[in-house]
Amino acid sequence: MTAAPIVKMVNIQKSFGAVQALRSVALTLDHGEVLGLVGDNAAGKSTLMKVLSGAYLPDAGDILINSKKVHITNPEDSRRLGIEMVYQDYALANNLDVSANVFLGREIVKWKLGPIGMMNKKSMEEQARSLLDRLRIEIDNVRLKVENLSGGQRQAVAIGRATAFDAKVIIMDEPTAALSVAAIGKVLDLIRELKSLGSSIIMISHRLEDVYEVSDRIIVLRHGRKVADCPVSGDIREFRERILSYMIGARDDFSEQGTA
Amino acid sequence: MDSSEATKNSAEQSSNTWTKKIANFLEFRELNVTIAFIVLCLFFYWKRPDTFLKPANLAVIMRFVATFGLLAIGELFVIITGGIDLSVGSMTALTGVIAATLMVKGVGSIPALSIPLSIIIVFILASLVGLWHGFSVTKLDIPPFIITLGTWLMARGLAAYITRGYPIVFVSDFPFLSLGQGAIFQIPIMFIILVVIALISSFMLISTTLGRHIYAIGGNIEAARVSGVHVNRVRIFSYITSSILACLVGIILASRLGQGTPTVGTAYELWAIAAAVIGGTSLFGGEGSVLGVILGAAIMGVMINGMVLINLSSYLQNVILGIVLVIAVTYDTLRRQRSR
Repeated sequence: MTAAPIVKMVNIQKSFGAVQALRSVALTLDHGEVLGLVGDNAAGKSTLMKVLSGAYLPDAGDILINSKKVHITNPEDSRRLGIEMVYQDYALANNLDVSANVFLGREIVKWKLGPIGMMNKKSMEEQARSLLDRLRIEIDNVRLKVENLSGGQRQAVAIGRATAFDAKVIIMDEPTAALSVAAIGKVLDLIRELKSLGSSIIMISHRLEDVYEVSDRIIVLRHGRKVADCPVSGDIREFRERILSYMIGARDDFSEQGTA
Repeated sequence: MDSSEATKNSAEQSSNTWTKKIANFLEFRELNVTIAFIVLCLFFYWKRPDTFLKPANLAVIMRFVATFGLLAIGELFVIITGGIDLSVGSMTALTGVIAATLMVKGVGSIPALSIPLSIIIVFILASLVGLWHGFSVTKLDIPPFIITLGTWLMARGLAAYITRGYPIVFVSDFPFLSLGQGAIFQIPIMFIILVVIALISSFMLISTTLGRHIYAIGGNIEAARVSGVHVNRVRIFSYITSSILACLVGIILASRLGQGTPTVGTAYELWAIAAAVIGGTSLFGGEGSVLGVILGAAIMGVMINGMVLINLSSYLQNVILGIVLVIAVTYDTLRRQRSR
């Protein structure tokens, strides 16, 4: 038996009016693991991750971080527990520079007067620089405005930002969806780099080849239920076929037991 | 490391910082407006060398820049967050009228109040108006254009109602009048107030977390929200700032004119927005600087003053100001498109 999983979600339920978005979903994430989370549209992937990141309150179910039960009621709670979310649209302010975006909402200050802090720009720029170097993100100058970066660089900044503050769990929502082939390769490299640095990652994706490339394990959701939870194995074609058959409902590992 | 190496390194470093400085200067956002301002000054000096640089004339320009610069700084705070404040001209009239009423007449059975107390009261009232704007925009999700348009009407109407349409006149030796009429070393006090406010607000926008959050909200409000920025609080702060600066201008103008007049400040909000835009503020939010809006106000002030000096028809003056505004916006839009 190795260490307890870093994240354990048990029996998570969430309804929106008459729609049951999540039906008793369970999820575990081990330390240093990359977990692929896939499913068709409206399968409940994003809802499940929004429960973990504090954007939604679940109707029922428990969340355990390192075996300790936690209550996540808003994004700040989640962030305090070391869970960071990388949004699909990058969630960057394009009119600000790289360093400002990395530290947005968590600026390093020299002094504070009530809610207003005097920023320490130099220190933020230095730390942003060393963060980019550590993750081998190729951006010449942290004073570049985000609007002047390529899509891949923006995604890299968004991911780098999530890791800047001791994140233990990083949730990525479709990190490769809007990128060119070359940029996808770089983002996947970045995910491997993060894993080697000890982060645990959950990656929501439609792109099964990307999930296959970097994930250790994969969970498939369908209509708000978990239908598969298995290691990533086999060759890419066989893997693709197998996962697709789960996604369209031809296979279901949990149909009789209900929840895992 | 031996000393020769050290000197070499420091020489390299200093040449580096020099090239950096030159590069920074060329990228200096307000460069174009600065050049436009200088060219305008030279032009009018060339046309009217006898009058343009006379202290009395410079004081006229400085008072103009102070009035519209202060309003435009308030407008800037709101516009950067992606909002707009159409109430500032009417707020100028309402706060001026209330301040004059409190100082000269008092309210009902309450006798006239002291100058500082009257000023404090109008500032509090103006803050509440700003709070109301911010609350409506953030919590009730009402478009800022509409909510401030409502105040634009209400404040103007209230100012006329309070005074029954007549100005409230100060006695000629009322000490409060030195605020708008006085000067130190021939520099109008109101211009000195502008400089102080400009330094404070510039510092806030450039160096504090609050300023960065104001820009972030204008750039991507959702990104700011998920990053933990207190989006609503910051936006409310912006609207309060705008109302408070409108109030400051209202007090200054009441002092300058020697009376609280319900008709003062008509269309000033549009002049303030024009100054902000000429100074490089983007109405889409996320861009603009205090230095820019003051240069924008200065360009307008010098033009209006200069066109009078060269005896240009006052009808044509507005045409030319309109052309300048359109050129400024078009240029800025094209520059932005090219950089993308």
